Amino acid sequence: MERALLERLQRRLSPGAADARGRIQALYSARSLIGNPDSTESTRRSVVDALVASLRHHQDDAAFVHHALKLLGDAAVLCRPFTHSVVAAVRPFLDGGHSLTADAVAALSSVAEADNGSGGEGFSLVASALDGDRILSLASSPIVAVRSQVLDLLVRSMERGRFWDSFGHHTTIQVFLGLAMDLYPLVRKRAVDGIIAVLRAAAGDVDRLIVECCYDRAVVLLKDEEKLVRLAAVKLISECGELFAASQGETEHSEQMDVVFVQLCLMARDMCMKVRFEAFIALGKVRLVHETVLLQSLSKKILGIKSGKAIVECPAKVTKISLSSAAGAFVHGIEDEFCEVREAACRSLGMLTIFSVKFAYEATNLLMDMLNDDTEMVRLQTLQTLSHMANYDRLTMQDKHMQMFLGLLADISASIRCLARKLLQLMKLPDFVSFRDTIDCLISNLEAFPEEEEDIFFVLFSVGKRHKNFSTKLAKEFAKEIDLSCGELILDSNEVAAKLVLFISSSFSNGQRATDIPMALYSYAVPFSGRFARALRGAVDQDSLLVYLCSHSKKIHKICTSLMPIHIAISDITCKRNVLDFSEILTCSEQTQEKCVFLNEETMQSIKLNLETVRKTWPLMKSHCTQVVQNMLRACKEELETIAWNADDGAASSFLDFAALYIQVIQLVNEILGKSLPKKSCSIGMTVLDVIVERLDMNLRRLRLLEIGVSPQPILARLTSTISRLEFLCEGPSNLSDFAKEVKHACTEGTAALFSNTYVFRKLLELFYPEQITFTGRFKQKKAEVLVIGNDSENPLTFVSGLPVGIFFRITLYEILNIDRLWLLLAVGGSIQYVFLDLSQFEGCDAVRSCTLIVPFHGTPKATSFLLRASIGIECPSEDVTNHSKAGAGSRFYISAYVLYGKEQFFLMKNFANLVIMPRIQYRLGDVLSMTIFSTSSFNKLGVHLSNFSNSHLENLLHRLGYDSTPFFGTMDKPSQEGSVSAYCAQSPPLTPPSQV
Amino acid sequence: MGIECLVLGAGQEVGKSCVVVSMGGKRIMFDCGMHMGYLDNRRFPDFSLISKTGDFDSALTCVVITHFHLDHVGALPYFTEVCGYHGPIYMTYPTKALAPLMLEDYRKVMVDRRGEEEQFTYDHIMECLKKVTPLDLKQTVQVDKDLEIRAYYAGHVLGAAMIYAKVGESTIVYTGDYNMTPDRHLGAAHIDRLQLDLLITESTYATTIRDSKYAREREFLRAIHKCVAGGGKVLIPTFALGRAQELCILLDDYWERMNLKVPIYFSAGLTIQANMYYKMLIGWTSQKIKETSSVRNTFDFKHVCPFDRSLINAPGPCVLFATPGMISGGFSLEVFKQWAPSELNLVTLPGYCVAGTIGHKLMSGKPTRIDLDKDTYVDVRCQIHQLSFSPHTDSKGIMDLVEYLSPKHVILVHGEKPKMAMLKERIQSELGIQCYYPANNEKLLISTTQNVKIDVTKKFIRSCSSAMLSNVKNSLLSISDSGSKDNEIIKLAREDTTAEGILLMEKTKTAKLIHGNELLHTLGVKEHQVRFAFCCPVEVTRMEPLSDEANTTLCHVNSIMKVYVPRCLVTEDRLTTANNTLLDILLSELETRTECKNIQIASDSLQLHTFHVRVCSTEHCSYRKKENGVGESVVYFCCSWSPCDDRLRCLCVVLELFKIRNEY
Repeated sequence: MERALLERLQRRLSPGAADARGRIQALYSARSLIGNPDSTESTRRSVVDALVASLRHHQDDAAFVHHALKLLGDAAVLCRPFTHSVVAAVRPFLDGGHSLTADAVAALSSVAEADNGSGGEGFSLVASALDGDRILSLASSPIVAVRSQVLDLLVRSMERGRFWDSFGHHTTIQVFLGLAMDLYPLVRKRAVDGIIAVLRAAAGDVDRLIVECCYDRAVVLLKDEEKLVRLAAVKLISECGELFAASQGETEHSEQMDVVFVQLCLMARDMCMKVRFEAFIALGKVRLVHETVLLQSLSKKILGIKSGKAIVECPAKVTKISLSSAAGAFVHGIEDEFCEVREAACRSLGMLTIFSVKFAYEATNLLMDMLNDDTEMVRLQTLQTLSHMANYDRLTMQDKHMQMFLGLLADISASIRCLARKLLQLMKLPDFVSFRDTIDCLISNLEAFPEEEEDIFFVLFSVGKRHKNFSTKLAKEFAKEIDLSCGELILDSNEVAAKLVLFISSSFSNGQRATDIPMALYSYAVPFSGRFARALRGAVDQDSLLVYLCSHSKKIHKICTSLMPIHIAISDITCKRNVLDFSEILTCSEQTQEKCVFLNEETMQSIKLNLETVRKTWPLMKSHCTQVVQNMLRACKEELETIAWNADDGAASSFLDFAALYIQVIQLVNEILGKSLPKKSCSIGMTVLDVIVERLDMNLRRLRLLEIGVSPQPILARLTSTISRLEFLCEGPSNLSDFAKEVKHACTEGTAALFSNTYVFRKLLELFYPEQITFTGRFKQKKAEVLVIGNDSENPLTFVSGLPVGIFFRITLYEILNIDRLWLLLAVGGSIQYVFLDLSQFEGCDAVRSCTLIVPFHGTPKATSFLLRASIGIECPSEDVTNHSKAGAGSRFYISAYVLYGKEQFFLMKNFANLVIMPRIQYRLGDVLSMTIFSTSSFNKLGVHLSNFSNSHLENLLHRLGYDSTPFFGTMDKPSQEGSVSAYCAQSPPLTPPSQV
Repeated sequence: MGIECLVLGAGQEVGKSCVVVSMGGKRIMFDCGMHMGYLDNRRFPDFSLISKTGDFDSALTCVVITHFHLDHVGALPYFTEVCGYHGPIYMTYPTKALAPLMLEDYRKVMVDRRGEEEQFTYDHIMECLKKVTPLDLKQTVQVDKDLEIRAYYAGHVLGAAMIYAKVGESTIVYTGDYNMTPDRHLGAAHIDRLQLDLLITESTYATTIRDSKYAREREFLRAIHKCVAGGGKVLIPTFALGRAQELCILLDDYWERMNLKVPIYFSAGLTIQANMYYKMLIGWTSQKIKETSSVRNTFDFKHVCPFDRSLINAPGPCVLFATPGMISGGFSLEVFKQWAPSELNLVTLPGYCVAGTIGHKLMSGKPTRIDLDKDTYVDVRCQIHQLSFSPHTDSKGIMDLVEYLSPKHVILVHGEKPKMAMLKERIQSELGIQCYYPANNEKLLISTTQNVKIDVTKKFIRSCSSAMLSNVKNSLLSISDSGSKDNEIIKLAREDTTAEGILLMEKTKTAKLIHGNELLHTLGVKEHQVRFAFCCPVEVTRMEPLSDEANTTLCHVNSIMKVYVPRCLVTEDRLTTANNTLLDILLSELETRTECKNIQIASDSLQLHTFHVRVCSTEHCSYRKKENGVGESVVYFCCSWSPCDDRLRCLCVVLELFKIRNEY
């Protein structure tokens, strides 16, 4: 086919063929042969050769040559190798003043165009074909098509940074300047483009006189009838202006630039939108303009200009231009019908403000008016311009502007509001009244758009910092208001929060001035510290903010404590600075409590009361009233759980967790004391004690995960390790209490001796007393949540026994540091599968990170269903490995026995699906139902996790478990956040999961 | 030939615009308005001045109406139906749609309410508008063989147009009312750069320079917001068309942005109908409205609802638009009576109120009591806000337009006399344009310049376009080549582009401008050239005859190297060859001495522009200087040049100094 086509084509193009139509048709097939990607190189070569040959023979057939030249141009683009022959074939047509010359140039043009820079020889070939003389003669051709084609070729190559070596800069400019006065508008436009390209390519390395010539030509073209030409001329004027300014150096102003500016101002009144747009863009780039001229452009009225400056003389040409022509250019600009023009005018206005303070002052008036524009884009640009001015310290807000500006805060568009607030941060407010207005506006802004709280707080903070005196004044007024309101003022409102963030800000950067702000305000601000810290976007973290607030509210604190006597005595707790990462927090105990009070007054108070009770148990414990103490503690614990149930405040949960664990530890201690003490000291069943101590140990570890050091008084075989842990906690032996030292001493003497020697034991006991330690700071609880995706009570995961099963875990970790090493423990019965958790897979920060991953579980048993317990373990850094290999089951590392969070997953076959016994889960205080209803013995409890259960299901279940459902419903109506219901039931008859393997 | 301009209305006053322009035998009436301030026969223009007999059809070529305001269209039904004009009437589409509303409303007010004798009936209005030919923007309408008119966008109100009219060589623009700055619902006036003999422009604000519209909007919005926030009611008396929509867009937009819930009412009737028209004619509105119309029609106001009479005394704040604008009666007066006594309320007044209306009374000072008639009066305690919104351009706008169009003459109409006088002075002194402001019924004759049409040949036009580059070419070949190219460029740029041609006037034919080269051909004569010539002796030393063979080969080599035109080799004439060798040597000498690289070698001569040098072969050349003591060693070179290249004469001097050493 290809061959046949080629043959026919060659035949038709042969010198002898007289058929003109046939030739044209041959061009069609030639085009397809060249264009077809499957054509072979040789075919293409033959086609091009045939075309080239036919060009020579059929020169007189203009129609044919026209198309053939076009085709050759395209061929050169498609296949680079033919460039040579194409250029050679085109060459003869370059002479002579007929329209085919234009086609020839066009063909060359496409050759040059195809050569896009890197190493192509197309351009140099074209350049060789078109030497200087030839270009000149072509450019002065009487045929417009030829002129425009040559010009196009020149401009394009110029714009791409290609130069015609055959003639230099000067001649090029001459050609362009000449053609800029062409009769045809498109030629004029293109020529102006060319001048711009030359000037740009020269990059400032042009003689000033030449620039002036170009400028003069542009000035003439500004009055062109064709808008495209005017547009290009405006660009050229702008380009020349930049060159003038650059050559001017750093002088204050130049008359020439005044002229440029006025010229552009005139163009800003053009009837064509694009010209106006371009003119305003250009106006923004002008520099070194005299202030009077600038000011004139802002006023439609002719300003009284002193000392005969009204007319400037253009140095190059003897044309006089009145400065009044610039009158009100920007006023018109910002009122323009087209928002593009308004936007450009606005932007340029901002750029010019840098040069003159007075201009900036006047421009502010205009810009403020523009804030009322009906197009959002323009309003946004106005705000940006104002910010730009503020950055250059050119923004002076006047009274009359504030109203307008503050109106913007109520704008319907979020981005406008946001930008307006941003600008507010940069602004210097003129007086107290506008300051107060601003604050009021921000507060109403907060009320209208509570979702923007963080941003608003941040702005308030910045504004306060910027206007210290004003905010101090306002703070004093506010403090008075509070005093007068006699407690009726509700402090927990957005308004108060907003004001407080403002007040505290003013002292924030400057400590000495802090005293100006009434102290009480700091303490009021304490409960908001979380919100504030969040709003300050990492500029200050919550802890340091808290400390700061606390340290400033010291004096007032005394009054507070007298009103609310809370002193939490958390005994046996040492605050460890470096480990706990609290270094930046000052140790000032009561203030912390105060924070808690404000955080959730009620909850915290009850927790503290409970802890107080615990403290009171100690003397009882010492006097061996084990049972009484046990009851007291149990009551405390129950109460805590009630609190946890009621408190949905996430911030309190850590503290609650801590309190619960603490009580548990005391309980254990109490138990140990009860078991070990006096009379039957020798007959103590070691195993029982072992269990209890291990539990104690575990709880201690958990306490440590709460980042609090605890030093209770263990008395059994594992004392050594406990001591070492204590040492670790207390940073070396020197910090140990007398008791601890004694215990250590006793331990080194030998455990056997310790147990046999009741005296030592008693002595130890005497030594021990709960030390009241206060601590500050936030409880950072390391915890983890494990969620198995796709497994619920009714549709458990299925498996094929013996084969691994993939389980989707959603793991969320709280307060886990990068250095922590975590393991996922999958336990079925006694066998545990360890899976290392790569923290890099997790997303988020230290505070919260989460990840979804598939973990294959290999040990599926041969059973219809089984219980899998998934838990997260954390590696303990400096444990004595040998002593704790139990949990590690022979592995080289020790996985801490305290599990952050465990979750048992129930795997069973479908037919077991209706058995709705759910595994026990570790509970998190605050998430679960209170146990007061069911539990009297709080230790052995069976957690029933009921997700997506209807009440009837629950009732059914409880009934089966042998519980009366009535009390249950008293608390059932509060589902936790996930939409599931969790409950803890006391386990009076221990219930074995029916299907466990 | 001239343009005759008869001002029938709006001469040194505002009201009843009507200007009759005669040019080239055509007579056009621009606008046909009525004066709102008079009730007697001064209300209408004095049509009898156009034609004493009342045969208006033959007296006028056409009537063109610029926009639908009554002071521009009010007298039209009277003129057509009562006076009996039946010729063509032109107005834009929106004007045609909205004018009957205005007319009918006015007629009703006049006849039904005031009980006046009616000047025209409803049927008259309808009949009249049937005769109207609608115009589109920038559409050239050929009224008859000689007269063409074209409408340009004028802003001002919906459908307002500036009219360009051309008869033969005479061109005028009648602006009607226009606005050079856009507002919320209309764009700015837009007109091409035209060659004009006369511009008739309105001059309502002949001396006022208005500040930015934003400031006015801000004041207005602040006043209204303050009032409604304080629980007050706002009465905005407006004309139903134009300002009402403008303010409504402004308020609606503000309400939307500020999330205000206070109701905005539009008194029913005319306004609703007008809004409907506005919605339909969206193509004539401002850019923004046009752009957003595909999403939401701006005239579908979100916060605006129709007003019911029972709501006048309803509690709570509200904003009400009511007609008529100057509280001269009707609904706005009714509401005014109710609301004026409360200081909570606000009344906004339009920028201009005719004397005698309540609006005018309120504007001139703050009266506490306004007498409606002998027996009734209203206590005015409410706040008054004066709107400075105006759809007319300010003095800067007028100056801008005049400067932009740069007509030969300007006539000011539609303004107040003293202000017009000031504007006239400015136009004459600053722009140097003749300016007039005739009074009503005054006739003004403006002389126009005569233009003669000539033919131009294609070649001349082409030569114009490439004139500039011929300079470039020359400079490329000039002697002072390496020197100051910058100067060349500067010269090029500074030179005015002049096209040179020859004006040829033959009997009975139109004059013709031809290119210089065409002249001989056109006249059918031969060209004669004047050349200067000088035969210059050059001393040649050591000239040794060489053998033929050697000479040929050497010359051969030489000519290939230096002579670009190889034609000289074709002639085997030994003499020629020898001469060529001489020329070669001469060339190289010249090049080194004058540093000129542009000298070219032709077959037997050296050339630089028109300067030719060849070896003189005639024994007694007439250009040769008779000199004594010329030896054998002298070769004569004959130089000749055109007078235009007389500067090259210096080359001869250079030549004379040569002592060529001929190596051969």
